[in-house]
Amino acid sequence: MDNSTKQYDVVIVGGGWAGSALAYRLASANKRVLVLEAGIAIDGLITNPDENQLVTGNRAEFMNDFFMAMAKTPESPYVQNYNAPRPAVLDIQPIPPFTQDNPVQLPAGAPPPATIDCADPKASIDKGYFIQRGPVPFGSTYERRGGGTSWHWLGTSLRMLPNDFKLKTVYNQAVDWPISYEDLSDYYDQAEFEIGVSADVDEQQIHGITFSEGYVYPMAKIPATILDNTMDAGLAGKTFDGSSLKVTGTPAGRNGVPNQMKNGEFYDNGRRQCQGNTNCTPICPIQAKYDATVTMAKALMTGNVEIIYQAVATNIMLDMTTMEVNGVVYKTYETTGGPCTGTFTATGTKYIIAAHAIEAAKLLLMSNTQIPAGIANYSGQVGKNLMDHPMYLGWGLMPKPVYPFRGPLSTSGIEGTRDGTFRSERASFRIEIGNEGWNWPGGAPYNQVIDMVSPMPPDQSGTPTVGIFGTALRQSIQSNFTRQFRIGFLIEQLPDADNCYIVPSKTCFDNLGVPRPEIYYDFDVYTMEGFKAAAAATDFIFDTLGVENNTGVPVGNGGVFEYEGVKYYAQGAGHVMGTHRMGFTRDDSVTDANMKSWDHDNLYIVGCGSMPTTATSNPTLTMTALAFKAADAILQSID
Amino acid sequence: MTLDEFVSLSAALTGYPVSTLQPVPDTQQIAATLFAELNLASNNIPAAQLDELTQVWNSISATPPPDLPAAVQEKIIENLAITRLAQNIIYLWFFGTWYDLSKNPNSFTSPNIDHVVSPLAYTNGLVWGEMGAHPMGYSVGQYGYWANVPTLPQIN
Repeated sequence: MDNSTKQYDVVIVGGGWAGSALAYRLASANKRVLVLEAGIAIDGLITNPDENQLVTGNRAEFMNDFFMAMAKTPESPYVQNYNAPRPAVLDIQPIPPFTQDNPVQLPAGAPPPATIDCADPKASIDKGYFIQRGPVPFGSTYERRGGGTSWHWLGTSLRMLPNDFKLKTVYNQAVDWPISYEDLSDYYDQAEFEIGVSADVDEQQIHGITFSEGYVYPMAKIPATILDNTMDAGLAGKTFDGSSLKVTGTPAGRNGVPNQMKNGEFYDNGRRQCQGNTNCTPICPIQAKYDATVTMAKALMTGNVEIIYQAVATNIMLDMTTMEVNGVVYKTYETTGGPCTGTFTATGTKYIIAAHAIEAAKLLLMSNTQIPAGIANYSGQVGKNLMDHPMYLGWGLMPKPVYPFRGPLSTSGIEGTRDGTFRSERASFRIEIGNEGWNWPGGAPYNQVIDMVSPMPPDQSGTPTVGIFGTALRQSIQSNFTRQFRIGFLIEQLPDADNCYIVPSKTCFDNLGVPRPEIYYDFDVYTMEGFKAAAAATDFIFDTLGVENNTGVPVGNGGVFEYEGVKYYAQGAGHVMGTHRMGFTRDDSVTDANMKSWDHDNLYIVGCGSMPTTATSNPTLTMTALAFKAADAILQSID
Repeated sequence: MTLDEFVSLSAALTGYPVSTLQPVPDTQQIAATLFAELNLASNNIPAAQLDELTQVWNSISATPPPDLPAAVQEKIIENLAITRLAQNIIYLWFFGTWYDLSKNPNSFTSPNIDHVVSPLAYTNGLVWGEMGAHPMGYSVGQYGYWANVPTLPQIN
């Protein structure tokens, strides 16, 4: 669709998490907003009936695709779109010439491994959207459609710790954030209200986290599962490496029981209570879990927002006199595999790049027709410092039934391990308690039932042998699956501009001819020491609880690496951060603390890519708080 | 194999009574849906294998209930000519999934014809209820049910 003739106060690239929050805030202040979303539309969230936008999606269709998927991965409900492709966990493999059995660290200066055949974009994208250069494959994925990756976020809404903002000052590691916990505290309140977070204030006051006087979360804490309570009882008073292993409820963007807020009113967002579908990722069937389409719907109801789907931003244009942005060029398409149908330019007073951390960096770097280094890249930091919370999984069988596969995917965690003097030496982590048995590490329930019914010979070769059936099978399922559990360690990663970065590929393109992300990624000693500590903590926790430890090679083993002779299998957390980091000066960061580009006065870049370090919390709540902070700054600059 | 033969054989293989697999009234038609997989040409089931499984089952189906598991063990499960097909019937009921007979069901060897039979076949998979849970993505519980200990189905 051509919106070239219209003028907006703000043009936002990205209709996902940050884009929806920004659109809602700005439109509520009577600003005229245009949102460009690369992916397909979501039914009911359309402002421009347009014959060129034929493809839409909705929750019922996504659920159907999920039910029919053999591998129920985070991507399984969402079909690939060759004109706005996204990565998939099934594509995460050891990077040639390395293999799962032969992980080798790439020596400095070595040529990149194996070229990838991407002459046919669709066939190539079917093997994986990313051009993975390693030496470790980047393990996290995202979605490109209305609502973005919020379709398959877990719901965890933890605040960052005060020390997370000052890693350099306190532990002499990496960099500080240009803001403090206190600067973000009010925005956390607002973010928790917008998302609808269920949690208990008293329980969240750890590691120096404070709340404003009389603050209550919108909804009461989600009830703990039987597994949570079992771990809580078994680990009471225990410590690991000086850190408490106390089990606490995890703040969640899932609907629970409304609290009476400070203003006397009971919170009500009009959506249903969680039914415990154990399916937050890949999709909540009933939208009891918040997603960004909730906020985008409210944004559209203001009447001040237009959204164009199937509009892929490809170039950010500058007025070379003022160095301000004066347009965003975008390409359109009719179907997810069809050709480009037009190239247009959207114009406004202010511009916000709120695409995914990888897509935002890619767009800034691709926009090199006027400045060879790309937009907002005086510092050279755009696309650099790619980070995740690489995860270590431990799994086993409890001595007594804990009844997994019931309730939300995760309701509790161990947060005591997030901060301590050890952060001068190694990565910290939080420990997520999973309610889905061995589903993640072991493909449960499928793989274990198959092992019962069609057991393989000990050497795993040849054909399955004689298994069990009938009553014996039922007894075996009851005994095994009611005791399955796993824990996951979300491990800190430091910014590493030299070894972890994304650039637009010069040789591989999607179906629209847009460069695909080429990713270089590795773990440093700090993070690998975190993995080592996670493995030791797993042993300690399992010994303490009397757990039969079954930790081994997980089904997703592409993220294998070796450290001190031990193999670890990193999983992606989906927490993609750092690629347009904010900071203190134009020399070492892409934006200021309001997420305004140092280089271009009317350009803001907002999302998890804004985060200078990974911190120790799942980043989504903080991203929301940051989006609201940026919205305030933009409104002040317009008025 | 007829639908009735399929249901009685399925009861012996899964350990569930016929009244669970094919309730009256049978609003979901799961038995018929799963049975259709045995007649689906694209599943490439060797006709001789299906015939032998049918014949063997008919030869032992009248065995007194206390002795039936032993007969199934000896004549079907330990019979390498038909055990893999029998295993697939178990997977149909527990998962709602058909696994390519030409490969180990736990392998992702590609291409293959592994597939979920239908959304209803998935949500009616027996494995979930067996462990006191629900299919992932299909809960009928109320808020907070997960704090309570479930009652597991009785095994006779």
